Amino acid sequence: MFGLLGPNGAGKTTTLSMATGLLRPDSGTAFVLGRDVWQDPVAAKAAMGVLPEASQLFDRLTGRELLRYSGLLRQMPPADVAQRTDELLDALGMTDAANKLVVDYSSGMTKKIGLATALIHAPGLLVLDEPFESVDPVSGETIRSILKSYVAGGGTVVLSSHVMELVENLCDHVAIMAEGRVLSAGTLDEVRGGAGLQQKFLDLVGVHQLGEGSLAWLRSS
Amino acid sequence: MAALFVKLQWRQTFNIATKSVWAIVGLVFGILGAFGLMIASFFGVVALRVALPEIVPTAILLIGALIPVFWTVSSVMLSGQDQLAAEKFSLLPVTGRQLAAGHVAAGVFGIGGVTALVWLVAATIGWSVAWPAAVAFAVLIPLTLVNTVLIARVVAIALARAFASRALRDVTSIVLMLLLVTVGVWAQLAIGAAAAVGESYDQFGAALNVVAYTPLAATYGVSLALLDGSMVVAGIRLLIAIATAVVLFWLLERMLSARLTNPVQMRGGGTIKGGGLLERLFPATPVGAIAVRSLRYRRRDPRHVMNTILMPFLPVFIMVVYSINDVVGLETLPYLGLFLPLMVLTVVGMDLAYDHANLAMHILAGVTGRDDRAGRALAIGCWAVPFAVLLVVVPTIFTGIWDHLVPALALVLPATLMVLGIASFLGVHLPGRAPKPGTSPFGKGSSGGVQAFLLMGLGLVAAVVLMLPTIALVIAGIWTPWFDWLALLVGVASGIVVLVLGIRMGGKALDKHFPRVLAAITSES
Repeated sequence: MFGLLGPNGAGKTTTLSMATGLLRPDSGTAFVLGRDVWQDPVAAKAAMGVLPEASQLFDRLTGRELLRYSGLLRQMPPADVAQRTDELLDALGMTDAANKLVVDYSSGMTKKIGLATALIHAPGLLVLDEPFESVDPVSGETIRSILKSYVAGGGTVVLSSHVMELVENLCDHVAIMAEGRVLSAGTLDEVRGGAGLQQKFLDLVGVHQLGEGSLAWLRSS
Repeated sequence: MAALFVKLQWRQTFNIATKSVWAIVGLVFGILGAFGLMIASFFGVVALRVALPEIVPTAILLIGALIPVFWTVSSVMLSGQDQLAAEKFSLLPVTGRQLAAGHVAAGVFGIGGVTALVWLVAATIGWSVAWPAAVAFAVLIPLTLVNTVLIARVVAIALARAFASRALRDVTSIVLMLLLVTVGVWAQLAIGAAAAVGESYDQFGAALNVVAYTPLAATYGVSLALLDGSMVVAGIRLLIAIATAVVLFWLLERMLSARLTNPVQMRGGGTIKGGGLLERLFPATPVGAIAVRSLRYRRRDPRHVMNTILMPFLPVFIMVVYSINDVVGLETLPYLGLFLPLMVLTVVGMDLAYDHANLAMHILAGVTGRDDRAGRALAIGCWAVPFAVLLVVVPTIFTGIWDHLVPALALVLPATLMVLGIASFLGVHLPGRAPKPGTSPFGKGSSGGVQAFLLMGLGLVAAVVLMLPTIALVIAGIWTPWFDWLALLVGVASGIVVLVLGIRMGGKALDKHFPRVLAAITSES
């Protein structure tokens, strides 16, 4: 499990968009399990599952319809689609909401149904941009255990986040980026080099120090 | 405090309007349009005052009573985007009374208020048929404005909770859109009704005298009463106008106070039942899935519902209006079905833009351009092709003139097929812009932008050129009727060829430009 870290505006989403075929890079290449994303997009995309942003989901479909759509677009046999749809909905605790329109879901549910669309074709690589954002603790734990068993089964996860504790707990490889450049990358231990990930991150990215007298009026005594 | 609200409203309007070059262009045209409206109403009243002074009071009262109605309808339509929604202030130490005053001030000194003010000044000139009436009206201008704003605000806020339901919002936006599109017919009916009423002018005047007692037009009623020399009636109406302001302000204050602590929460619709039929009708392939999704959207997304209704509705509408008004001979009616391909051209051409960011899902799933194009064309074709036939056959049955059935069909059906193909290709290069998912069908981008016009022009030229052999045969059919049948055959065959080629070429282009198209249709957020 690979964690991509960076402050807001560091270019995490841009990087992932270029790696998944949404944004054509000016130069450079992107390979997924040996397949060039920009030369052989169909093969590369078949090998990966990407968590879409909420705005990227066809939200006037029900959760079940959206999953079926996602499976059929990926040319899966309809029987497999139906079976996996039911299993995914059950695993994510969404069977009750399966026949509601995605537009009416809460943001946590939207995240979960998005994850399901990324998983339905059993990809070798899973790309997740901020997977735990606005997810409640219970659903977060569900997602975490799904990801862990996915990785244990040989899958690779690339996730972006700015929550250090989460990345430190889940990932074995990390990269820290800021202003569009990777500042450090490697295994978790290599990157944090003895110190905590939080401290290392702040050292690399730079921290905005509060001056001595700033916000003095906030101190009431 | 109230001044702050006025500033806040203008600042927000300005910020939204200057977000991009196109928004500025839109703003300029908007201002020019409003300006034109003001000038027109101004000179309209003045001209009426000079030419037909006896009907001026009636006209002013009628228009005056309609302004709050119009304002209320637009407030209700836009209530989802209320810039001064009470919820936004719930963390600030403000009271309902301050908010209410702010809402009134922002309304009076907003774009609508200024426009209305110009009208009221013009109306004062109109009242100058009698000086007491004009003076009273001028003095009451502030009260008129405040009442107009209050009526609209109170109704919009009272309905806000009902409109928090997405299902209700969807239905209303569709109904309003249809009313707007057919406004010509309603106007014609209204003029007809007015003409009928005109013959019994006394009754009409009596009805208006009743309207003059209502909050909608009480201030106008004061002047009307002074004109008739009835001081008592004028006094009653003045009391009604003042009471309206007091009661409505009190109501507004109550409702805003309530909303400060009990915000309106957006609600969704219920569950979707059934729906397996479409899935069984289409193959379980990417093309079939895209067609099913596309057809579902045509039922569930108000923006698509709009287009789907308008596509066959517009030709029918034109046929009805033309035949009522004797614009064309009855035998020409089936040919008016040619308005269908015109609609299909834009609907197919802009289908990508309507997806907005959702298109990313097709890209991420590795959908090929050809599957994308074919699925969409299939869905729209399922709707358009039967209508192409119906739009020719039904008017023929209706008029009983059968000579034009085959030639009209030989034009309308192939043109529809061709346009499906042409737009499948052109739409990749000129995706245009559409209102975002979940926003009003009238919203930003509903005109499609410059690209949509280009698409329309290029598509039309292409369709006419590609139809030339068929058109030639139809013309030959005027002298030798069996050429009509040949035209139908050649037309449908060439239509299918163009459709297939359009999907293939469009698909190839889309494979190459998927990311660029995505960037283009999501660019102006």
